[in-house]
Amino acid sequence: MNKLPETFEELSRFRQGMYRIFSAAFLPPTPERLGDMIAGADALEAMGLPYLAFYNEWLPWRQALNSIHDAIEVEVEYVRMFTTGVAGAASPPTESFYTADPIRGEVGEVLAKLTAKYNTFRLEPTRTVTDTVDHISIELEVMSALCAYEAEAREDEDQRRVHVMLDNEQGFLEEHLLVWLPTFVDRIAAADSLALFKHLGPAVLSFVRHDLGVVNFLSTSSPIVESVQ
Amino acid sequence: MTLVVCTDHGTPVPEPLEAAYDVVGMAGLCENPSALNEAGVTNPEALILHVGEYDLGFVQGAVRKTGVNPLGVPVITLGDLPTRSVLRTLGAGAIARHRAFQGAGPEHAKLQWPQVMSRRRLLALGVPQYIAAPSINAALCSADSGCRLCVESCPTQSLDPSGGIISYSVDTCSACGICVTTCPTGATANPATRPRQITEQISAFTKSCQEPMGVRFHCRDARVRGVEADWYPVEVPCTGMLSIGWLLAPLLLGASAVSAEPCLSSGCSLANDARLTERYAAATAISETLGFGSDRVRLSTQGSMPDPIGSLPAAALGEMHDADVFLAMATLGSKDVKVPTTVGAVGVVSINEDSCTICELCATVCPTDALSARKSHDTVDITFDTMSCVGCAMCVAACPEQAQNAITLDRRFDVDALATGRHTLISGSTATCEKCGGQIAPSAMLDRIQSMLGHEHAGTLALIGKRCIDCR
Repeated sequence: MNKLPETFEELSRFRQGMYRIFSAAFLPPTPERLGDMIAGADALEAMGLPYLAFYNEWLPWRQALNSIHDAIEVEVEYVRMFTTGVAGAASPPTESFYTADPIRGEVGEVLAKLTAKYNTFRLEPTRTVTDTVDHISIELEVMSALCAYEAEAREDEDQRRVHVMLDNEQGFLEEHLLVWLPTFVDRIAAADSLALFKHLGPAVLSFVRHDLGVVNFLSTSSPIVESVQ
Repeated sequence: MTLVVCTDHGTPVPEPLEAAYDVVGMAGLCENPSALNEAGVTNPEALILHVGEYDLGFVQGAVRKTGVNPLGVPVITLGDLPTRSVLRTLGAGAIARHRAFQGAGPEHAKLQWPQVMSRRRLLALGVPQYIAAPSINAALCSADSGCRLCVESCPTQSLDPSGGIISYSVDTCSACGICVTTCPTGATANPATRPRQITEQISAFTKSCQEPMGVRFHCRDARVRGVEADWYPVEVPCTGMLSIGWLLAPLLLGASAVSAEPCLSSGCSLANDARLTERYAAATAISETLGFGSDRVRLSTQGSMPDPIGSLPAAALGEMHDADVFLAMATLGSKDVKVPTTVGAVGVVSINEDSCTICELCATVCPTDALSARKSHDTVDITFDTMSCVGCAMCVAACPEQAQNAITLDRRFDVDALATGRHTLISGSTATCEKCGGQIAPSAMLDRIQSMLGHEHAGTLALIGKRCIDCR
C-alpha cells in the first residue's frame, strides 16, 4: 500500500513534489521531460496521493501521461496551446494575460510585482529561463520552492520560519495563482486539446485549491506541540 | 456495481435486493481497506463496515483508487451483528443512495486532517478524511433580490452576502447542511445529501423490509453507533438541518416512525439541538393534527412501531419541501386542517385592497416567485401561489405601505390554501399617458400620492396622472 506522509515535514516534501511535477507539465514536453514526469508521478502516488481528494482529477491526467504514443504530436499541440504564435496561444499560460490590460501598460506592473515578490522569497529565475516571471511553470515552481523552504524549517524545528513560509505560501496562492488559474483552466478546456492537456487543467486546479486548504490547516496546527519529540 | 461487506465477526453476506448489483464479502476489510483494490473491485457503490474498526481516510483512499468519488459511496457502520435480512435492507438503501448521487467536484471535498499521537513524534499526521461541503449555484440564488435566509441560518457565519452575491468560506463551514434546507430556491446543495438520495434510500429500506420499521436520522459523527433493531439509519451532515418536510417525508415513503438523534446524545459538536427540537415539535403537531398520532416523530427510538401510513414513490416527494410533504400527508389523513407554525417554511400571504398601491415591490423581492406581478396594457395583478411560499416575510419587509398593513403573512400549514393554486390577490387599473399611451403607474398608487399631497399640489397631481415620465 502507499506510504502516507507521516509528519508535517514529509507532507511539505510531498507538496513540493506535486508543484514540481505540475510546473514541468507546462514546460515544452520533450521526451526526456515526459519520462521524468512519469517517474515523478509514480513517486508521488507511492507517497499517498490517492488519499487526497484531488486524486479523482489527477487520475485522468496520469493515464493520459502514461499513454502518450506520439511525442511529436504532443509537442506540436503544446505550441498551439501555450506558446504565442501568429494568432496567439489557445490558452496563454501567463498571469498578466488574465489580470492585466496591455493597453494601459499593466503587464509590466504585474511582472514587476512578481519579481519583487520573488525577491522577498529570496528567489529569482535562472538565467536559462526565457519565459516571463508570470508563466504558470514559474509560479508553480515558486510554490514548490516555498514548500521546500518550509520542509527545511521543519527539519530545523524553527517554528517561526515555518509560519513565515506558510504565510508566504498562503499569500502567493490567494494573491496570484488562484486569481487567474480558474480562468486559464477554463480556456484550456475550451481549446479542445489532447487528453494530456485537457486533463491537466482540472488536475492542477483541484490540487492547488486543495493545497490552499492544506496550508490553512497547517497554519492553524499547533507548532509548540509538534516541536516536542 | 458492488456492495462490499466486511465479513469479520461472522457478518453474513446478504442477498442483493435486486439483480442490478453484486454483493461481495471481504474478510479484514475494516483493518485493510486496500483489500478492495487488491481484489480488483472496480466500482464500489456502498460499504458495510464495523464500528470502531476502520479509518475513514483509508477507506476513502481505497475507493478513490478505483476511480470512484468516495463522497458518493455510503459507508454503513454495524454495531451488533445484524441478521442477513437487516443487512440486505441496509445494503439496498445504501446502493439506492449511491445511485441517486449526481457527482461532486473537488470544491465539495472539505479536508479534515486528524492529528494523531504517535511514538515517533508526539503529534503526527493521520490519514486525511473528507466530508462533503455545500456549494452555491449563483444562477439559482436570490441574493440579488435581498434573500439572506442562508446567511441568517448559518451557525458558523461562513456565508457572506456583501456584494450582492453569497460567498462562502469552506474553512469555517461545518458542512452541517442547514443552509441547504433553508434555501428557498435550491441554490445551495450538498452533493452527498441531496433530497433525492435521502428519499431513494428510505424507499429502498421500506421496499426491502417486510416488517414495520422506523427511520433514524443521525449525523455523520454518530456513524460510530451502528444500527439499532427496526430502526434503519439515514446519515445526514447534522440532524439540525432536518426541516419539517425532511422529518415527515419517511412516513410517506412507508416508514412507520421517524427518529432524529440530537447532537448532545450523539456526541456531535455542532450543537444544533435547539433547531432540531423546534422542528421535531412542529412535525409532531402536524402528525397529530392530521390524525396520525403523536408518536410518529420521536427523539428516541423507544416505544412500539405503529403501522405505516403511506408508500409513495421517492420521486413523488421532490425536494421534500415542507408544503409538498404536508399536502401529501393531508391527502392520506384529515383533509381540512390548519396548523400554525413558527418554523415551517410555509406562509399564506394576503393583501389589504384598501391600502395596497400595487407597487409590485413584494413580487420583486419574493425569492421563490410565490408572489408575482402580471401586467397587461392597462391592468396589473399581483398573484400568489401558496405552494411556493416559504414564509420568509421579505414581502412584508419590502412593502412601503407596511404601516397600513397592506400585506400580511400568516405562517400556517393550510390544506385549503395550498390546494388553491396560483390566484390573484389584488388587481388594479394602470393609468396611461395621454400623449404616448405608455403606462404611468397603477391608479391605486396615484391615488395614494394624491392623498399624501392633498390639494396643495393640484397642478403636479394633474400632470403626473396624465403623462408618463418621458412626456411630462
